[in-house]
Amino acid sequence: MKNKKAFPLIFLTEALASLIVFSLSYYNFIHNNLYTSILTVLEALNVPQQLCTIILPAILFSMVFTLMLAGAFSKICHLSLILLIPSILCFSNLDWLQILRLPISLQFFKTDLPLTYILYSGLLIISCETLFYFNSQIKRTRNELLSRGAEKVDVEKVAMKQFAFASTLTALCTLTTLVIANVAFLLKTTFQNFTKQILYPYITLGAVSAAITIICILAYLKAQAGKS
Amino acid sequence: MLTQSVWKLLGSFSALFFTGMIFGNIPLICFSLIPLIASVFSLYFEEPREIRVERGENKISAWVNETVEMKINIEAPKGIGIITVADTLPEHFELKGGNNFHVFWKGFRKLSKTLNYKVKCTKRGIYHIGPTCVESRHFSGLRQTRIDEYPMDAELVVRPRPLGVKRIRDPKILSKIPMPIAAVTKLGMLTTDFREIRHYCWGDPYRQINWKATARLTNNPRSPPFINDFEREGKRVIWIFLDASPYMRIGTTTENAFEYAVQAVLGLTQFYLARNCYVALYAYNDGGRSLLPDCGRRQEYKVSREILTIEPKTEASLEPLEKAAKKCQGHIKGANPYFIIVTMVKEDNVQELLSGIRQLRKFSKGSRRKPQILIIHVSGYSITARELYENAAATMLEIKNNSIIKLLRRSGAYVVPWNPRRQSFSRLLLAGLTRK
Repeated sequence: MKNKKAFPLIFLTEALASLIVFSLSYYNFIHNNLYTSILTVLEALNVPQQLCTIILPAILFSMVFTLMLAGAFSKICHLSLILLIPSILCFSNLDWLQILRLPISLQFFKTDLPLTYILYSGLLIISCETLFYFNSQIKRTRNELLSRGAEKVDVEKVAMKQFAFASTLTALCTLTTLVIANVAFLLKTTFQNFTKQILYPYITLGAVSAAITIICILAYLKAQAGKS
Repeated sequence: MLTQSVWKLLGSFSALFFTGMIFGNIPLICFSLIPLIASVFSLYFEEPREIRVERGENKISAWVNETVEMKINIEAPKGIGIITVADTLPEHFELKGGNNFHVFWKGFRKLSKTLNYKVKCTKRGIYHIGPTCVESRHFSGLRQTRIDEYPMDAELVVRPRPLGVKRIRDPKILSKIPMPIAAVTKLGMLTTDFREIRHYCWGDPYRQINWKATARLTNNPRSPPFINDFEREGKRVIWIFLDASPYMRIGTTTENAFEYAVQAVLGLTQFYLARNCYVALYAYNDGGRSLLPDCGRRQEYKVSREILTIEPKTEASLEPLEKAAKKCQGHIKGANPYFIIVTMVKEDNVQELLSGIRQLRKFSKGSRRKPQILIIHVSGYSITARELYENAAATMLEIKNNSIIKLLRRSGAYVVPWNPRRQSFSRLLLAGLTRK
């Protein structure tokens, strides 16, 4: 009986996760300067502010529920990320808008919330996105096996275990990233004296680290491909 | 090999990482780590490997329509992911219980499972079960599925159930069919197998007279005494001709005229071999596959083994009965055998049968009144009929055949029409019995 509930459990987890993620993003969005600016523009167009504060979330949440019913949880994650992006951008160290001498800067997207809040919200969104990727694999495998004539009980049992493993792995990934992020913030102050000595530190260190990362990834993939 | 899904995760990483690098945005760079770490962690866990598959102790022979249990043991010590095991079944096998396709999750522990399923063998033949296909799937689909075939073939011989042919122990019964007890030769040594009590005939040894039975059963003082008759060592030769023409395929693949004909042949073979007769088999219209006359259990085994591989042909006949009779005349001549032809009499093959009978009669000494040729006509139309109207149509077609059967009888053969749906084979052969 327990095994028969694997698919609804996956669906329920996805629905719950996407709803939490979207709510967090929306909370971030309403604390962003962009949201205040939108309200100001609408007020200038003689739209009552109270109406705006009702209509905007209503539209967004109805969109989310439509996507939920369609089972497009990944798209809810994308929508959440779009809502979070303005808050993330305000923590950028390179303001390309100012460099390109545009009339606005990234500080236009200033948020009232602290960096850690934005960071954890973003990590949660990406973690959900990763979990949804694993879930899509589970669903695909499940449908394929059922169409090939496997016993439903067996398939549900396998899907349940696969889901448990994928969830654990995603949680582990998130934890690892959190540790790395916290360590990076701690090391930031230590390395600041060293980076100050380098000419154009962002560009130089960025290019070097990007190149190293790409090389490492390609080498790793090649090794893995050769292994199998 | 890695799949395209790796690029999906790395695409997310690249998009976030490079955007973070361009804007000097630490949160975005941190976000990009999740898909990267997820792909690294996923690739760290390899799909199940070093899988060992063994076939359990399965039956090697079964009867048609018997349910056989199949067992496969599977062991996977390494890797994490999904394992699918599919045992390839032959065409005419019906899954009765369980499933020949199973899915297992291989976690951190060693997987050791036994796959069970039951199959019904619907058609005779020699079947090869397997190979067993094992798929090892990566849990996240980042690695390509590994498909291994384990060619541990298991041979299963599916034998048709022979139709029982009985004999009647009654001295007052005569058979019109040239097959029952009277068919055994009078030559040959007496065995210890009791056959019957019958009237004394000229030449019988006196020591065989059963005085007690004579005293009890005889009312007329002039009637001859009764004697104990025993089975003799068989010398009589029986030639069975099995028709493998395309029209014998009438019916379904598992229930057709040919399948019933095969059962009849096996029943007759067992009957005659049990009485120490020499039995020969010839499948005409099948490229001349034959078994020369022989007796004993070895011949029974050879016939049952040979018959498993005979299938009615799909093309028109190439070797009619006459040609078949000519082909084996060297073995028939001088033996004065009984001929049993198992076929389906139709308007199309009547001429072929008539010329075949003419040819066979050249080798037998029996008169036209006491024919040495028995034709078992399997009523194919009745096999295919399912509903009331179809049954009526089948009956009409059989009635239409009556004139052909008469023609065959006139030519010197005893024809027994057999409707396998309605008539038991053993009862059918008793139909020609009369009282003295």
